[in-house]
Amino acid sequence: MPSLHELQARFAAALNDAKQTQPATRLFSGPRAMTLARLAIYRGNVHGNRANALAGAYPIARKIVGDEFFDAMAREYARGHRSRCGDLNEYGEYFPDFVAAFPHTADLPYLPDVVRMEWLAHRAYYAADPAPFDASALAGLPTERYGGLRPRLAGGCALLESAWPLGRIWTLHQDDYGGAFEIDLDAGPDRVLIHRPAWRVQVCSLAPGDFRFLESASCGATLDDAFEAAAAADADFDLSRALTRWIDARVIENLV
Amino acid sequence: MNRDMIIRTALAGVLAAGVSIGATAFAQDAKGMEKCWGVAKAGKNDCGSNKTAHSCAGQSKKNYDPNDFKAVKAGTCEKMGGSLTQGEPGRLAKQKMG
Amino acid sequence: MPALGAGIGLRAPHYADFAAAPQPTGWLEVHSENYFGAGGRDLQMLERVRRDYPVSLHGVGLGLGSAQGWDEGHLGKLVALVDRVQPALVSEHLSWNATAEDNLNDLLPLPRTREALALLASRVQRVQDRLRRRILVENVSAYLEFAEGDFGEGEFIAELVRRTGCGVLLDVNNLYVNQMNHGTDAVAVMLAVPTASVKEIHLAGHLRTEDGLIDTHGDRVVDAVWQLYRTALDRFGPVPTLIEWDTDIPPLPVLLGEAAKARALMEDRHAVAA
Repeated sequence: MPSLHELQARFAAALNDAKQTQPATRLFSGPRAMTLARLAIYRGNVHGNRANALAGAYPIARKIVGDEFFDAMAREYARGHRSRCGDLNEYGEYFPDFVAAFPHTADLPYLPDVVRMEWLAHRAYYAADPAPFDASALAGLPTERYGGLRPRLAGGCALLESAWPLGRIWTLHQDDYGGAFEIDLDAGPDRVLIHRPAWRVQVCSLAPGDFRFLESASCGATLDDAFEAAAAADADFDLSRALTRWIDARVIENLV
Repeated sequence: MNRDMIIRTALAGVLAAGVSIGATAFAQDAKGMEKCWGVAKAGKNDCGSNKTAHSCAGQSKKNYDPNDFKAVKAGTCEKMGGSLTQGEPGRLAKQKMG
Repeated sequence: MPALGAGIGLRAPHYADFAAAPQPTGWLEVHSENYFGAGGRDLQMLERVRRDYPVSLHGVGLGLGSAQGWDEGHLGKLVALVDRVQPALVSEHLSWNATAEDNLNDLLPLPRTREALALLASRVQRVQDRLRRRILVENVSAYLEFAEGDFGEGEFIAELVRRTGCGVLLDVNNLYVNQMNHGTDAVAVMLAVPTASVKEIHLAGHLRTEDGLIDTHGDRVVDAVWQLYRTALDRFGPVPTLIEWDTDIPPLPVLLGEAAKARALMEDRHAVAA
């Protein structure tokens, strides 16, 4: 009997690669044909568990390519990316990189950005609940120091810029969307905010000024710098309106 | 108005609004959650994403030998159409995390 | 602890039912890892039902028996969840899932050797130390039986209980699946497990295939498993019993019907159970 470590290494090898069953089969009792069939059951489990996790994180990509194709993609992903974690919600982290390099979806050039958006949405789904806006840092602060304050975004807020209409793609693929499936892939660049005000992840397309403002804030910029960046993208950027809107939407959680 | 003035004015507005801002979106969304929990039909979860990656159940599909990749796409990609020349596959989008 | 009676697994398709009205279940069980996030809908729902029902946290990803690839970070997330939810019961599986290189994300069976037993005992002790409470360990269904081993299934569990003071989550369907797949005697396993150690019972449906039984949790409990459950009740008393249903999840009333059946058997054999 090999050591437990050796036994598990052989067992794992047989599950990761059907061509490596030989060293594993001797570990088990029963006829060889049955052992092979039962190993295939475990292999089905391993694949099924991971494919379910991937489908949970990437529901839109799955709808775009179809269930069967997505399942095959999950298999290919598993071949190139080892699962490192017992928490399957971490499993799809490298799927965006995988899709970007996957030759069989090269004819869907928007797909890499869609899966990037979906991973950010997946992260937002599990992020800490946003806290109510806290204005305590403002109280008693000399007004000339306002520009040095840094807007802090709620956990899970993310910004993504794409050549493809991500906001529209998101909307069309929501389960409760009842409108026509119409989309203009040539609509030009889209800048989206991904966030979760309470329980449901939302993706919304932003005007260039708002996008630059929040993007700068997400990088830790001061109000001075974030405003500068926003005004450079949109000369009519309205800071008062933006602050009120994003505090109200629980995107800006704090000014520190 | 110069930049300093704009920032002071904007923050004065935030201070004046006080605790009243920041509640609307959450309240609406929380209301949506109640509604959604209340109306969803049994066995059909239409309240947004349904992520339950973990279970201790076995899978009913066996897997002997992964074949070469030969699946056919059959999803909404057919309906999305459009000119697909813009952008290159694999181009990295700019992405910032909050 | 007050008698929990019969319970069901809380699954996302039934969130709405629980939000709409109180449901006739003694308690609820969830898979711990589905609630490892920092916030969000699932945690909100869990905390909400926690106000009205005792909750059990049932882990599937820790891999107590992995010789390599043990993840203290995963245990840390479990500790945080247990602190937050204050569950009535906490359980893990007698299985392994990881090597040094990767995680297989499944409940893989362990050989019943002295080496595996020693490893499990130290891991169970480690988890109990971190959680500052006793955990229950569950016997898993297995599709393969190892050629060698030092213990029978019941003796292996009994020895782990003796060494660590842990409790047992006896999955009666898994005993049946193993009996059908390998010829191990389910009743003999039960007779070898110390009576006072069993603190929870699982019942579930399985799938019959040409290659053996698969523990899919996707159907009603079969008659033979109900029969074994009667034996378990006679031996272990009115232990909190859970109906597990994870694939092809039916409308809530079907699940509650199975739980009611378990409760009726419990009351039939132990008038005190209610």
